[in-house]
Amino acid sequence: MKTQTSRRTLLKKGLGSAAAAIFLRAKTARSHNIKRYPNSCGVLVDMTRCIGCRSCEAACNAEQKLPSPALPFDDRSLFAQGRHGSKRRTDENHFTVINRYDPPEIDHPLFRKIQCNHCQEPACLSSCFVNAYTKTPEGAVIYNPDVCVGCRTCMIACPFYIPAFRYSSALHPQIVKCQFCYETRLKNNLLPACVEACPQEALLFGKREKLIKIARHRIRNDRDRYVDHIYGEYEAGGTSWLYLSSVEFDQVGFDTTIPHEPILNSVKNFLAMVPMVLTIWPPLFAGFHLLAARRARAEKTRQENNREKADEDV
Amino acid sequence: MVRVKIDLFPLLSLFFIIFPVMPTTAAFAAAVASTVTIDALQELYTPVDFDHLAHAEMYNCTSCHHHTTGTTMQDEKCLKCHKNSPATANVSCSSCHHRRSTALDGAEPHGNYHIDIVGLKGALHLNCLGCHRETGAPCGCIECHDYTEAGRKRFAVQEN
Repeated sequence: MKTQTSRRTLLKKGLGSAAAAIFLRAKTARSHNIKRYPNSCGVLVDMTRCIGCRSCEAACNAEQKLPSPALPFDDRSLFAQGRHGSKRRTDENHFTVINRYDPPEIDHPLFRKIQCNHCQEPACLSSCFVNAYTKTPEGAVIYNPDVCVGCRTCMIACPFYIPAFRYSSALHPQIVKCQFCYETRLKNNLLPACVEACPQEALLFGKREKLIKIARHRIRNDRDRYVDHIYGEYEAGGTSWLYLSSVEFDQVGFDTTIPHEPILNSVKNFLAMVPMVLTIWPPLFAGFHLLAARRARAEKTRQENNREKADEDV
Repeated sequence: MVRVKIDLFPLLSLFFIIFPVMPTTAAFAAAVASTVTIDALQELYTPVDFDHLAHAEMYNCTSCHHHTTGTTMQDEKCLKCHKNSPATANVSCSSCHHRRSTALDGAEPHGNYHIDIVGLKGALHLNCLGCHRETGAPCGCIECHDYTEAGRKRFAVQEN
């Protein structure tokens, strides 16, 4: 009787401490945020200015030394080529892509530039188990191709579906994406290639905080031209690339269901539990098992002793 | 900027229908440059020989030059401060719109004004193309300026 009570107490205490461990660990994990850089840079994309000339794509191709395209960059037939209404997306040979949209409420098409949005708290970075990704103080989310093992977790983690996989290479299969021209330009105080190439200055480079102010200024000064929303100000915890549009963002291919919380926050608590489960659970349950086994063994020994005693008595 | 021109265009057209001779007088022609070669940013494209006189005959100076020259400004936002501003010494686009445009540099802002000045390339394209798109004038890149050799290479265009 006494043994049973103590075992129950032990179980209770064990589970209690396990639960406490979970919550305490979760709390410490939450405070471990990715460092934010207040002076980081970004680009404001004003879609009301973009004319779909694809100069940015051509500049990116030249800057990143990507293979020559199948069609010249001034070929606009590409905008209509999507199968089943699908749009072009970034891949190993295209780090940025322009897509055309024809929203019914306006009489002219809008063009959306896609590239890495260089999140403030990048999901790709937090998902990478070899720490290939870095968020630089300038704002770029870069990666080290030498350590990338090609696991493609970042492709799943990215809410914007940006990292692309080099499927064409069997020997060097790895992730490729826009690096904000970090190595070749940003570090040397030059504008990113696409920004420099844009004839309409639909791309404006600057400190993120100031870009938000300018975006607000544009919205305030021309309410007919813009919707009152800066895409990327809060989406996925905020991105370095920000967008202005003349129609609601969901009409031009943006995912407006992306939470304002960083993507990491959705999985942080669960991920914090994983090492806890791996380190605490094995000794805990092994302990339970040993206790239970010892009791059974003690019972067995006692019975055997009793039998021996009985035999001796006989 | 672009929207202002939408409002101006019918008015101006009407004005020039009523006074067809006025802008083409000898005095006017002498006061404006006939052709402006825009070659400040020439790299991927050949320079543009902009027919300034033809445009000056069709439009008001302020359609492009804001308050720096010619007739008084009509944008009410600008008029708040520039109602009595005289013509400036330098009227070229590049005197205010600089080659490099970022939110890092730029003119000192005056309250809520002059905080978002576009660069030279942006000013030229936004202004020219903005109007060309509304009036049905040529809008293709190589309709105004042809590719240079570098441009052809950049855009992966085959030689004709």
